[in-house]
Amino acid sequence: MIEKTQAIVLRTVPNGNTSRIVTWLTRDHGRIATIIKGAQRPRSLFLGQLDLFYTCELLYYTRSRGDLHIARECSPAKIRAHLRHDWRACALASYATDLALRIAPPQAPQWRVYRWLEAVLDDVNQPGSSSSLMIWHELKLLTELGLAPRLNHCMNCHTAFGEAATALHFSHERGGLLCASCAKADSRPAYPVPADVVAMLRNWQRPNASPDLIRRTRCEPRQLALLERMLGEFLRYHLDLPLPSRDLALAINKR
Amino acid sequence: MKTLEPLHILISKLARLPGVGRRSAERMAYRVALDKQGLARDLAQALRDVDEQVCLCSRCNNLTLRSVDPCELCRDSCRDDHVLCVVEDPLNIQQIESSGVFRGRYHCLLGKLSPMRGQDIPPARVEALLARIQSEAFSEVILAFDSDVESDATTSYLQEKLAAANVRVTRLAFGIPAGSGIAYTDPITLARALHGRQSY
Repeated sequence: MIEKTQAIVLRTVPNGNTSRIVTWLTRDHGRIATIIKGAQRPRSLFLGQLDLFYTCELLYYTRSRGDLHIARECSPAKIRAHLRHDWRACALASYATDLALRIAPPQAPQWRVYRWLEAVLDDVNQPGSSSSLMIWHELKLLTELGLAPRLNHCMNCHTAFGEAATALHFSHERGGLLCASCAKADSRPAYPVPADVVAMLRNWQRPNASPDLIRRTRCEPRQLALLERMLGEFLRYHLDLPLPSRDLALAINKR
Repeated sequence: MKTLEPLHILISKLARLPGVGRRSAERMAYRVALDKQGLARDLAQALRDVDEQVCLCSRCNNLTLRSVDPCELCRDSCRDDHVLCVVEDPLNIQQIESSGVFRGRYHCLLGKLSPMRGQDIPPARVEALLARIQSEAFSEVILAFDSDVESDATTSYLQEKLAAANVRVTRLAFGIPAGSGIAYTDPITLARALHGRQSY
């Protein structure tokens, strides 16, 4: 059977001298892998038609047995050329793509993850992308998956926190903030979070928060370091994933 | 089967090689196990020799013998000392050498900026490159990387880092592949080929 869908290139690996195995996140069928025979030959129809972070129109034959399909045709719909010239943005795109690859199960429609990855790649393809933009996208992904950290009440005693609440602690295992007394009594790790960082996170969690707002937000190094730690631990714990590409991408962005 | 554990270990080690999947690793391992001509022994000896005798050149990071360090390309006095070609992988050095056109020096960075593959070019490696450019007084540095997104991003990273080195930085030209045609060329390559056109 032949399928046609929009798909983002997640990974390409060589297979033999001229063929490639390409892993895609498709809009309609989730994560799939296709073999492209002769992809590297000078007269291949696929030469230059796909690369990492491209969104393509993909035509492929499905195989009933096994999970490696056969690509028939592909043409780029978005090539995101800015990523070729902006190495910091390229590192963030690389991490986002790796994250999508890890969380999307094979051959199960994942339109939320697809939509998220498309938005991340479009945003980092604009000048002025930064680690804070990536952290905001991580928050958005967690919200899409129903795992967003809870910041408005204590995860233990359910006391509501006002805008001016202080002495708050963050526990990735509890899934959000704890008041000082609950944090002290809880055996799981929690650490204090200044009110300005909590306010920043709450602002970023609002549905009307936009990439422009994040680009305009001035983030001090201590705030950024704390946000990186909070979201990193939260993602690793709740998605149950090692994320070496995250550490590397954020380290590259600090150079 | 516990008795076949050495075979399973061999399969798992072979499967770690790039381009070798589990099935291919199994075929190779069974071929080695069934061979009666001493293939396993020869293979083991060859692997041991590579492990014991081959290392990275202390000057350019190319592969060389421990007894020939710096490598032959670095020692060759007939080469042009003013041009340095920076590549990602020692294999690229062999490929450029086989073209027979380049007669300058090489420097291998052993990776590119690719968080998803766990690859990086640590600042210390860039500093080592900068130090070499200064100490050997190169007048031109050619960045010879692939043309995929991550390699292009790596090229832009190096270009930025080398800007302070007071050296001419160039990169490989783009164009229509030999044996191909305009009809088969993608928009990016075609645009770059037109942009980088040359006078006859």
